[in-house]
Amino acid sequence: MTEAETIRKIQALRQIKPSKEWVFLTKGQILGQAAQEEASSVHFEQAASPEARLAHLGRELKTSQKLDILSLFLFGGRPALVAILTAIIVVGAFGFAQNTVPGDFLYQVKKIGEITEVSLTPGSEQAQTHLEIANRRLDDLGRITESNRVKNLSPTIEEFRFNVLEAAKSLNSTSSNPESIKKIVQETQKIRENKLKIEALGIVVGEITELDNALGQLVVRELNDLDGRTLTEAQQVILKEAKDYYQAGNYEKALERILSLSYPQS
Amino acid sequence: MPDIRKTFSDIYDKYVDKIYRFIVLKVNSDETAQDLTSEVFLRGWEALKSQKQIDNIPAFLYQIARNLVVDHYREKGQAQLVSTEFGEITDSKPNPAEEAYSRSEIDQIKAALVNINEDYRDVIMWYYLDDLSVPEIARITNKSEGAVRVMIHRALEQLRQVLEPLE
Repeated sequence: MTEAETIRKIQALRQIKPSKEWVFLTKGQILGQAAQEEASSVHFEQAASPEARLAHLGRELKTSQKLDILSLFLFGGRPALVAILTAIIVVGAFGFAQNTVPGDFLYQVKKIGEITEVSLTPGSEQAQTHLEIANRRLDDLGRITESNRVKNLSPTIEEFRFNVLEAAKSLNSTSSNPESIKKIVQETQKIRENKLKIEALGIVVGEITELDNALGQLVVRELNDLDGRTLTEAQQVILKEAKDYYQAGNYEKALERILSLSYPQS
Repeated sequence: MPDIRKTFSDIYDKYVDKIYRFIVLKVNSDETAQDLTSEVFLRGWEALKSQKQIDNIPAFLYQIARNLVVDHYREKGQAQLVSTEFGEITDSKPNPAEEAYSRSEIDQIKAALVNINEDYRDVIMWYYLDDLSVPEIARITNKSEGAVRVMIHRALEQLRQVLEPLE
């Protein structure tokens, strides 16, 4: 056997590699510890409050015709028992579903709740609701990485991107109400922070260009509205700062400066 | 801090396969190799965070890996063996016959590696598998570059002699 043949045989060992899943998850675990150590003071939103869950339950009971019919067959038409057991089943399913992530069996139950949440939100506030849901998906990605549930990554990233896109589409109908704009700024900043943390774990969620563009258009709308108003000198300085932030592409800062201007309600 | 994470991420992506392979060819379980490899990079991350001066990244990682394997066997009180049933073969061959041939060749070389001097085994892996340079190997082994060149030559010769009867 020649030296060259020996070297060729040695180099055949290059085929030995660790599993891609393990490689990916291990990096996430190591960097995940770092992300936890540097956790910001931003409070991450929790799942829907008990009051919201009961409100959703009320809507579920009104629309759950199939469940009512099934209950009638099983319990011989005892209305009280049917209502109680239906409530237990629905609350139980909804309760279990709160800790699910996209890709899990009961996630669809949770998604029904979130779709209902959006549909019950006025059009002028739907952008912020979608941004809140997008942030929940980023929280889910953090939990998925900690628990090594690789199969849930792709559906969760898709749900995140879907809600970011829907938020972008809804931004042009956002009210000029300062509270609405403040909420949008907060949720967008939270998305950027959470996105950085997730990407530090090695998870790529993609750019949020559509959201940035929509935010830019919102800033332009507000700036144009302010240009038509009579402002004090101090307010004009703030308006200029907002325009400078807009030019620099920092739309959240531009909106914050706009919010700090006190102007008459139209 | 984000810069350190990016630096670590780049180092991890570049060396994780090599460190894993280096360890898995020394221990007898995939699970153990994964645990030890994780520990190597965890220590690497700690070193980065503490801004420890690291002149040569691969040398640093391989030294940790080598020490961890030694500690592992010291705890287990076992001789170091090269298992033939571990790691994934990721080279996708178009047909089962070629895949079988590949597996057979790998088993053969692994079996041969067991029968050569352990230091020779290490330099063969570093030089021919992981493309480390002579200076880098010298740093890991704390030997002169001249001594490393001699070792590489002798290691290859010893392996060739072990392999020949198996052909």
